Amino acid sequence: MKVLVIEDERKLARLLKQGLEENGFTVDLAHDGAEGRFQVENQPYDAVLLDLMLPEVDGLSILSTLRKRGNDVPVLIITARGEVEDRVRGLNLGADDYLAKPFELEELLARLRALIRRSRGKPSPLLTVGDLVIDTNARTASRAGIAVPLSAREYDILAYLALNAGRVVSRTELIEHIYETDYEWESNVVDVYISHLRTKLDKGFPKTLIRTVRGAGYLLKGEP
Amino acid sequence: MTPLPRSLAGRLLAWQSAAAAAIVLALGLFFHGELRQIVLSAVDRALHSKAQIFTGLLHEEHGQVELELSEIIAGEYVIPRSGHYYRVMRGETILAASPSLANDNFAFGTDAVPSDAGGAGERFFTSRGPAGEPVRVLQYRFRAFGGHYDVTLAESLTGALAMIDKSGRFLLVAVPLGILLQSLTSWWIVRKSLAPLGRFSETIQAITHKNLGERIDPGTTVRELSGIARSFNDMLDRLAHVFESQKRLVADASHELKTPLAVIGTQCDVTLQKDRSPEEYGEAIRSIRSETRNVTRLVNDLLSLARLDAGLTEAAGSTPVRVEELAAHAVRMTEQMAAQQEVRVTVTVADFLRVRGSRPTLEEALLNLVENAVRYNRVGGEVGISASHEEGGDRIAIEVSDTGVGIGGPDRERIFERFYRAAAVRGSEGSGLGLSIVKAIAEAHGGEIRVASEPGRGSKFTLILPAA
Repeated sequence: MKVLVIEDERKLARLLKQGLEENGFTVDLAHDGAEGRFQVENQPYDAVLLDLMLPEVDGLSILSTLRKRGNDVPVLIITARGEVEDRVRGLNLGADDYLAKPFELEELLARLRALIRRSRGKPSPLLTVGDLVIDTNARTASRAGIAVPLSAREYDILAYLALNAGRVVSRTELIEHIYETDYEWESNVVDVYISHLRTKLDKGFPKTLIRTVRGAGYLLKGEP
Repeated sequence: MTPLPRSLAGRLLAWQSAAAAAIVLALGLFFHGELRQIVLSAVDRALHSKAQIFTGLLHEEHGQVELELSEIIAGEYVIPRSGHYYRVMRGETILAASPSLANDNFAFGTDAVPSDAGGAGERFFTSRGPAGEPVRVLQYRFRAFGGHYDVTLAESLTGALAMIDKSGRFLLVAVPLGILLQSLTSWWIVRKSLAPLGRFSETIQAITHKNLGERIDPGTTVRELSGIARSFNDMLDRLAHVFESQKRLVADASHELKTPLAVIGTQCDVTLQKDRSPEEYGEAIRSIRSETRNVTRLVNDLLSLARLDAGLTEAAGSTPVRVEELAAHAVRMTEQMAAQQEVRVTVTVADFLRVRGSRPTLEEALLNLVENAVRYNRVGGEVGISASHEEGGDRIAIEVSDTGVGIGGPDRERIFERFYRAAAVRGSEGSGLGLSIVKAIAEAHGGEIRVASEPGRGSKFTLILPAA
């Protein structure tokens, strides 16, 4: 899951990046409004953490331009402006959730995960595809009741496919949602992880969950 | 004396009722007196006319003087104690007397009262008649037929006095009733007239901090109140302005306080979410320490400002303070930072210059200026502290100049605002309150702060304080 953090307080931004990354998120940072707006308009993010008081362009106007242009990326506002009227204004402009500073990292993570699940139409923290169950809170997966040990990247790819189960996901899309924007990746990196996942998930099962759609990408599907 | 009622309505009512009561009472008394006068003079005029008739009816026949009354006139004198009496005397002899007198020699008292109805030789007085009734008496003396004649005429006043009494009794009821009615009307009018005042007060009461933007429409109230309404609106404008800036200050302060707290909290959460190396823990603690320092400085600055706003600084002892010592203090406190930045601080202050004020506060002001001059200077830059008597005034100007980036025009307007930070220094240390504290200190001492700057060359802050 890739998240953009737009926060001008650099120390806090750096800490959020670290905290989120250690919990399996991929994080891009923007330190002012103009930079943040540019990034969110040009990169596919699974969620945006938006501070309201920003230099250049303030948070609420970023939010309103985003929504006006039809971009419905989930936005979680984090701000020290915790007045009810500010909250209402933010939510009315199209924010999905609101967290006042100072906040607990646990709460931020929980809300962020819930936000992303809801945006994919899957409000439960447990993603189920056939007999595959993914616990997005614990970041674990099991098939037919047996736990499948996964590396962080493998989990990220599997979770993304599961969130988009039934839909073909291209390699580029996977990379965009799992790696930082300026990460220099090799074209076959996804194929490598997919083959690892297949070994761990599908081996010994008659039904394969991960399918390759030639020329398009990958598809995670429970039913034949 | 009982004090006037405190309510305007009560006062109006009291004054109006008292005035009306006095007027009605005076009118009643005057009317009563006039009526009495009119009635008595009517009786007197009638007596006078009768006296003329009686003298005309005296005639001499066969050397004998007689009174010859026509029957019409005689009628009312026949019945004893009828209330109409006459007696005509020649010298000491009774010539004629009305049968109504019962006793020809009945003597009327002489309770003389002058009357405007009287002619020559006439004397009017009030007395008692044969039946003990009040009577009006006319005695008329004239000369005729070679002798003195005295005509005495008397008319009962019973009917007239009864009429006067009746009118008096009427007034006794009518006057208090009039006063009462007048008071009730007054009360109603006063209430009616003062009603806009009540509505005005209700409008004012409905305005609280939540709808400070609302105003009273001076057009909707009476003319006397529209002036007050306008003054009140002006006051609300001023209040709303202060309230707005206070609200902004609180919002800014809470933002500024919550941000470092968020950093500290997140630092702790991130550090604790898994096992770290000793180096990582050390790094985290150092980061928390530095952030705590920021919060501490911010809290101190906010408290300084709050004290200045509350006027507590003015109350503090005001003494002569040597500018040289203030400068030395600022230099001492910034020594380390200046050394790190390789900034040279030069002080040129004559030792006799003294300003008046509270020493710790003035130290804080100058320290803030010097700290800024060092912090926002270029590496290897210069800071100059100098002071001089302001030309033709009893104030001292302390100048702090630097060779930093300078402050652009739009920023120059706003750097003394609370929490305002120029774009060039955003992201560096500092609470954004330093210069507003300096300004508040200068103003608390009756002084001021000015800034001159050339972007790229440096800035010069001038702190002007009263000389001791």
